[in-house]
Amino acid sequence: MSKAEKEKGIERGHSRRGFLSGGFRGAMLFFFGMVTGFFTGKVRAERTVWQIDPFKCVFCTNCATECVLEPSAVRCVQYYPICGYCKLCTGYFDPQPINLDTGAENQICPTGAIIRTKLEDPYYEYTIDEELCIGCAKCVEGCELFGNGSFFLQVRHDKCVNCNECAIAVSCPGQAFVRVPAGDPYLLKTRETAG
Amino acid sequence: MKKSRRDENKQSRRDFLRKGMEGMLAFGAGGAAGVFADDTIRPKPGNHSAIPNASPTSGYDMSKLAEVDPALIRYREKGRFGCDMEESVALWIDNGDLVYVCGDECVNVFDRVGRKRTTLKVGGRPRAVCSVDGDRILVAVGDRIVILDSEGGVLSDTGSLGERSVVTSIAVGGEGTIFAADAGEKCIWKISADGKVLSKNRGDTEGGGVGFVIPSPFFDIAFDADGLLWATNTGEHRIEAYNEEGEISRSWGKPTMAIEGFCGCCNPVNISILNDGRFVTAEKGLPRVKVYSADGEFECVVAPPNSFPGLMRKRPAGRMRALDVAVNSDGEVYVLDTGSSQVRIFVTD
Repeated sequence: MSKAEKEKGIERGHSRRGFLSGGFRGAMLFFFGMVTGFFTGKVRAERTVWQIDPFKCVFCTNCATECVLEPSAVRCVQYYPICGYCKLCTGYFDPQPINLDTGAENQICPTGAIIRTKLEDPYYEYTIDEELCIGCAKCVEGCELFGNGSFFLQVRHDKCVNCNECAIAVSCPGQAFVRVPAGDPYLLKTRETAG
Repeated sequence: MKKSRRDENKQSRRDFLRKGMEGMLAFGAGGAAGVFADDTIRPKPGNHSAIPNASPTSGYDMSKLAEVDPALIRYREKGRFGCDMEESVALWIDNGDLVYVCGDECVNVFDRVGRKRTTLKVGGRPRAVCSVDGDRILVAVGDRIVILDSEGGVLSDTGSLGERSVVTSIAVGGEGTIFAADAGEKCIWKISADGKVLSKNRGDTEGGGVGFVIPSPFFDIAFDADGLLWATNTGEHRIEAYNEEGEISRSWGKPTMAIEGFCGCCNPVNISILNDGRFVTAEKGLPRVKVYSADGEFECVVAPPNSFPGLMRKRPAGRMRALDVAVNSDGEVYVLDTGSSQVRIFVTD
């Protein structure tokens, strides 16, 4: 390179020092942009969370198998005001139970997560043991199709890690996964909506 | 001309703009990277099998449960007509074979082939309708019964029957006495013709009986030709007969998914009685209509579950839906298909 060309390059700021300082400035800006973007993304994600619309759930069992967590962040909940306290609870018993008792062979729940407690004859209370529940929806299906639908699935926000692309939502055939405000994160049934 | 040092440090406008643009691009790229980093650092879904001991056949296989031996189906559909309402709930056929369908906030009256005669407006969502001769039409609206004339004018109103009352069926006995099945209070009210409550029947509570067990808002009653009042004790999967004083005389029914019994937690949801004393029953869960002898022996199927695809699907938000049944003077079975809001007429050859 001739001296004249070198001088021309310096005039345009293409010296090594200029290149390094420009690169450093760019890297710093990139870093600050990344930090800002990360926290902006965080703030945006915390505004809404995933939840299951119980009226769209089709009890496909994907909630138990597709979640990134094991066991899933989805659990069954029991809404007592619409429960019939049935002796023959279709959310608790197999379609053709041998006996109406707590024998494992009679239960539909694969993990025995439903506790059956006798109240006054012939009424029984059914409670979900959340530590055992895996969100498979077998009880939800029985209760919804034959009973009052007091069992339904909900994403538990003390467990959910709130993925931007929820793996269950992607595979949900009923498109029941919706974003809801983080301040009001549950979609519960009511006596009115349940009939 | 040689530039002074001051001039060398001075940036041109073009340089300033170029560097500014580069900076913004770098910042933007960094920001985007930051946003996506939030996604990429999360764990990916695993294909773990989280259902221990679950066989592929466990659970409610509705297609299998809905199967019915074709030899048991002895009725065929003769015709159908629309109810002209969005949400139909209950059906009644009077002595003159007029067909009453209630739903939305009205009662629609049809002749036996489905020609609409009139619409009676009701102030609320009705759950049951009954009329003996067409002059007085009794409509259950929430916790009360409203008595209308044939033009829809209000003749009288029982007022609220109870704090938790949900009246789901009405029948009229001797001397115009009204009987109202109340799924909320789990009782049958006996009411005078002019709307005064006379007594309350809680079912068979003597000798270990548990009375009426009604887990869902479905509780039906119907009189037979002998004046016995039959009630669906759904939680016990039984149909029970009472005299007008509220004493039980007999009962029949058993819980099973099999065709000869009543399925699910609480069935049958609705009944009607043929002139010869045989019963027509309707169930929910597996929406099927069947005929039983006067002694409660299973005889045949009027319509299998697959006849009602709208009720085989998961229900949307709102009122629980179930079939209702009524019979006309010729023994034809009218089924209110609430899944399609149609009345469907079944006959046997």
